[in-house]
Amino acid sequence: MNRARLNGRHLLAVLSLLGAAWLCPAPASAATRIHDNSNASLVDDYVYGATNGHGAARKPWVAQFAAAQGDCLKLLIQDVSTTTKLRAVTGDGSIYIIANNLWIIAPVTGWITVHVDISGDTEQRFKLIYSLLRPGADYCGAGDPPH
Amino acid sequence: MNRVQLAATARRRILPSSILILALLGGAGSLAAGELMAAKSTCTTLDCQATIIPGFINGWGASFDQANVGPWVAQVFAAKLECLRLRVTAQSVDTEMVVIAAGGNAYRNNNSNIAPCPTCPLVKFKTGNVGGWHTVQVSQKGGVPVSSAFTLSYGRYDATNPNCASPTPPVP
Repeated sequence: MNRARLNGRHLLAVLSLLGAAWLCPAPASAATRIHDNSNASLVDDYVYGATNGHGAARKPWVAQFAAAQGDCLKLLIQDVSTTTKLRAVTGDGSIYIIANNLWIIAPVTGWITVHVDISGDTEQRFKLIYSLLRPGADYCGAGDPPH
Repeated sequence: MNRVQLAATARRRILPSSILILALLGGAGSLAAGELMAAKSTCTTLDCQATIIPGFINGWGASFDQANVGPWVAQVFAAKLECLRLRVTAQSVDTEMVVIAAGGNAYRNNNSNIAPCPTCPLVKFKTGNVGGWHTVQVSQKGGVPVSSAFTLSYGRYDATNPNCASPTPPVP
């Protein structure tokens, strides 16, 4: 009987540790992370996203995009029939506010938070085109200024 | 019952309950990291009945290149015509907080000037006519790639609650 209890306790302890290890990562950011590793070609990638659909509560779409310092991250929202608000926040806290077409020169290497808000109470689908261009790319220029 | 049977019985009893506990804990953990919904409080002292969230910036090492800045990001809920108050209450590096409200307004703060952590950020605003999920980012204030833990206090109150006195102005 004692051996059985001991085995049971060991099993519980192991499972508890596994659970704790599983829980530890939870406090980190949970936003979807997108890393365009195509090495700065002019080829655009895209994702389809959706916002809202939670009744009267607005539900923006949020993801984090990778960029090295000086890279140009191009973001363009398409296929939307109503008002959009595109927002981005870089790792140093710089905020970019625009409607649907944004060029960011990354001030630091890391993950850029992108927030897409579309008005309305029903689900709104959109297409987000993105490109990561290396420093000096002709199409980026000085980029959009942060607020 | 012999020893083998007793051991097997003990395992059968413990295993399902352990899995249930882990599932419940794991579920709560996953939820806590992405979307957070706290109950609205009617108390009026600062940060009263707020939900305390443990956070971590920069994750675990480099996921690309070498030293990358990995802010902590979550979406917190506050309905329309409410006060949303978010304050970092403890930090081991100087953090900055940016909140993009569901309606698109942006708020940024670095120092709350509230003891015992005056350099911890505080963002408080009234949601107005657009309620929903508000994006919260916490990072090292200068964008330095460091790994560090913090705790975030998240409270929902009526718009007239003192927790939203002198609200954070939106970034113009």
